[in-house]
Formats: sequence, structure tokens, C-alpha cells
Amino acid sequence: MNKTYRKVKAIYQKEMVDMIKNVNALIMFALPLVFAVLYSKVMPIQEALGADWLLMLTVALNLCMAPLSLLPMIIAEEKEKNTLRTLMLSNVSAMEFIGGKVLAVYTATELINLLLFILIGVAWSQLSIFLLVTSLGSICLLVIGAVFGLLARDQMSTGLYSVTGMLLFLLPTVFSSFNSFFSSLSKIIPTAVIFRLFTMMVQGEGNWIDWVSNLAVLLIWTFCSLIVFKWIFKRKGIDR
Amino acid sequence: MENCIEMNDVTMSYDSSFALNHLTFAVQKNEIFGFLGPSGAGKTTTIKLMTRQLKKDGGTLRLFSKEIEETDCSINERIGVLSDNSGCYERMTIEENLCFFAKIRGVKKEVVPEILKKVGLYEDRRKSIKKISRGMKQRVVLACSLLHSPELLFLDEPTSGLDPATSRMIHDLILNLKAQGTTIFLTTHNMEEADKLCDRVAFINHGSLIECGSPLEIKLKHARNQIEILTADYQRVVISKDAAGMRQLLTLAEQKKLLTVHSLEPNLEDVFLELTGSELR
Ligand SMILES: Nc1ncnc2c1ncn2[C@@H]1O[C@H](COP(=O)(O)OP(=O)(O)OP(=O)(O)O)[C@@H](O)[C@H]1O
Ligand SMILES: [Mg+2]
Repeated sequence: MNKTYRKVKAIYQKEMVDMIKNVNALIMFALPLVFAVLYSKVMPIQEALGADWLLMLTVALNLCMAPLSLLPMIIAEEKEKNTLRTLMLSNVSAMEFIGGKVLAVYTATELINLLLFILIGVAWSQLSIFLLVTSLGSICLLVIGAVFGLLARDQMSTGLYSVTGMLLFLLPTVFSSFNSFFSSLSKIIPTAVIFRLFTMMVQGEGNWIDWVSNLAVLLIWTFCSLIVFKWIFKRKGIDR
Repeated sequence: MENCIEMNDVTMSYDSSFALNHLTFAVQKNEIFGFLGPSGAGKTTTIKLMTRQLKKDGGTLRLFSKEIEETDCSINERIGVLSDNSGCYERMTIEENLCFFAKIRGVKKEVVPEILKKVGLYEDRRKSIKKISRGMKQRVVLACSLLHSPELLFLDEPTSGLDPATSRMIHDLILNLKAQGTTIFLTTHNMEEADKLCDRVAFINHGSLIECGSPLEIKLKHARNQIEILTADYQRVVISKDAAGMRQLLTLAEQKKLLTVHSLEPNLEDVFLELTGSELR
């Protein structure tokens, strides 16, 4: 246990420093922030569509960037550059490896979410609810991102998985109010669901069925992804 | 003598046609064991089997007297591996890489400068991995594999692509490690290197073991019982090492026609070529 803690911590710390030096990571982190500044300060779309909508858009974008694109990318990079081999031969298990990465990306994701919250200027009283709900969402997407990381052979091939994931998770969230198909799809999409939960909490509305059904969507996604992760991991291992 | 590695009738095949055929040999504690063979002979594959990166199909393989199937990844605390498929982090400096792996291994940071000096990278420790040569990268990985002072060290072609001076440094390092009690399993194409470093060597070709023993034993076993002489009229003559040959030699000496005498002992490379009938690639 002590050893596992030491190794996960070492990987976590390395990853936190490494993300700052990684241009790809910086671009992914910057994108939602740029959107937030653009739409809230430069172009006053915020006034037309509301702060909540803008927050939803940028957080969904952030969740699609860090957990869904960056995480598989940094996992695949270690396969491609053979550092994963060195780690495994240094007695690091696949779970310790993925654990350290997931924790680091989680930290970064929530940090960006916090910045978005501040930039867009939502009431401070809603902060704790916001962090809680986005944490639930990012855990769900991190597991999905980890599955992509297992599947991808190198950094190039992560793109395919990430883009597919983004289309699936981002489009219905953004266009749910414009299109009935997306609107119904958004009911089962984690990025959209977390916002329904957020709004329900802030406005104190919704009956228990809404609560259960929305939470269930998140849990089912997380649970199924965990099963897929375990299945692929058993069949394929991490570096074959 | 205690054995560190025991291979008994080990077989393994990839989906492709290549296979390791019934390998049987043992590596003793505190020896330098050379595993020699041409490219594609199965050297790296054998190391992968021994370090649990691949699974064998049949036979028994024991590490530190324990069946490899019964070991778990904690065996990695006792072994170190330098292989062509292990790498280091490009966005970090040499020193940062070592400090990171020291943390992973639970080794004190203080050993890092010491090890960097051993592999001759101390002066360059602040350089980013992106900006160093292949030979330097290889030494970084070597340094990483030494951090936890392993009992058993696997070195897959540790000097390929290194200049002679650096190769010499690595050779000295290997001999030093042996003096400190480390067992070393070394693969190489370089027969001279093997001759110089190894206590025992094994030849492998197309996945089969074709010879195993100390370099001297092997050379003597395949000695061609002949000597070559240079006569006064600059003629090279090969004579046999028996009584008749010696009389011939004596006659030439009496006639003062003998300039030089060479015993035609083969070097490891000659033996290898003879045994495999192939060129070293
Ligand atoms: N993953 C793999 N799948 C299928 N065949 C493989 C695989 N890895 C290696 N081989 C084949 O196995 C044979 C032995 O490879 P191996 O890497 O063990 O050779 P080697 O002795 O280390 O050669 P070199 O001196 O070039 O490093 C080669 O013919 C190679 O094509
Ligand atoms: Mg090889």
C-alpha cells in the first residue's frame, strides 16, 4: 500500500509538471478558457443565451478536452516512446500508472472548471455545487478516456477515438435546445446530464425521478466504462 | 554454484514463423553471461521471456530458483533491464528522469549524481533528453536500470552505437558491477566485447542454442590444430601441430628460414562463423 502510494504520487507529480511543458496539453486547456473569454467579454453572446448556457458549453468542452483527449494522449505517448516499458520494468503496475495519470488530469480538469466558473462570473454561492457536479462528470469521462488510452497504439490513433467521443458528447450538449433529436440524445449524455443536475440543485427544482434518472445516467456510463476497461485490459493488457 | 537463471527446454514462438527451440542453459550467480547471435536470432526475445514481458510456450524457466510463473512484479525489485525498447521522458532533463525513477523505485535522490558519474553523464545532467544523442539516451536508460542496485542485470546490446571510448567506459562499468556482486546477462553482436567481458557465453542462431561455455573453452574446442609460419622468402605456410609438423618447423629453423610463427587459434567470431555458416549481420 505504501509502495503503491509512493509510485502513484511520483507519477502524479511528474504528470503535473509535464502538462505545463506539453504544448498539446496547454492548447487543450486554453481552448475552453478562450471560448469563455470570447463569449463573455468580447462578444456579448452571454447576454442573449445566459451565463448558465455559456458555462455548460465551456465545461462540456473542457471535459471533452482534458479527460477525453489529453488523458488517452498521454497514456499513448508513453506506449509510443517506450517509457511505459521502463515503468513496468521498474515495478509499476498498469493500475498505478493509469491511477497517477487519471488523478493528474482530474486535478487539471477541475482547475480549468474553476477558472471557467470565475471567468463567466456565476454566483459564488453556487461554487460548491458546481465543483461537486463537474467532479462527477469528469470521473465518468476520465474512465472513458482511460479506455481510449488502452485502445490507442500511439498518439496519432488517439485522435480517432477522441474526436468520436467529442462528437458524441459535445454536439448534443451544445445543440440540445435547437434540435429535438439532440435534445432527446442529451438526456443520456454525461456532459449534458451534469448540467441538468447543476440547474436542478441551484434552482431547487426537479422531483426525485429527475434526480434519480440523471444520476443513474452518470453512474451507468461510469460503470459500463469500468467494465469495458477491465475487459479490454484483461484481453489486451496495456502495451500489446 | 547458485544459479540466478535456469532455462530448461524453453520454447516460445511468435505468430510468425520464428521460434525459440528448446533452450537449455543456466546463468550462475555473479558471472557475466554473454548471449551472442546475429540479428534476429532471438536474443531480445529471450530477455523478454526472462523479464516477464513475454510468456513462454513450454519448458521451465526459473529466476532466483523460483518458477517464473510463480513470481509477481515484485521480482522487478531485484532485476534491472536495459533493452532497446525501454525509453525515457523527452520533456525532462537527464537528471529529472533519474530523480523520477529514483522516486518510483523508492531510492534516495543522493544516489543519482553518483550513478550519473558512473555512466559519464554527470556533466550533461541538465540537458533535455530531446537534445541528446542516441548513445547518451541509451546511457540514461542504463543509469535508470542501476538505480536500485539490482542483483541481476539484463543488458540488451549495451554498447551498440557507442563510440569506442564510451564503449570502454561501459565495459569498465560492467566489470565493476560484477566485482560488486551483480550477475549480468549481456547480449551483443560484438564478439570481441564478449571475449573481453564474459565469463561464459552462449551462441544462438535461428532460435537454437549452438554452443555454450567459457570463451577460452570454446576457442580451444574449435581450434584448428595448425600453425602458420612466415618463411625467409616471405611465404606463408600452414603446418599441422603434430610431430611431423614440428620436424618441418625444426628443419626450417635450422636452415634459418623461419621468420614468424603464429598459432592459428580462432577467435570467437571465427568459431561463430564456422558453427552457423553465416555472416554476422
Ligand atoms: N512481436 C513480434 N511478433 C512477431 N515476430 C517477432 C516479434 N518480435 C520479434 N519477432 C521476430 O523474432 C525474431 C527474433 O527477434 P529478436 O528481437 O529476439 O532478435 P535479436 O536476436 O534480438 O536481434 P537483434 O540483434 O537485431 O536485436 C526475429 O526474426 C523477429 O522478426
Ligand atoms: Mg535485439
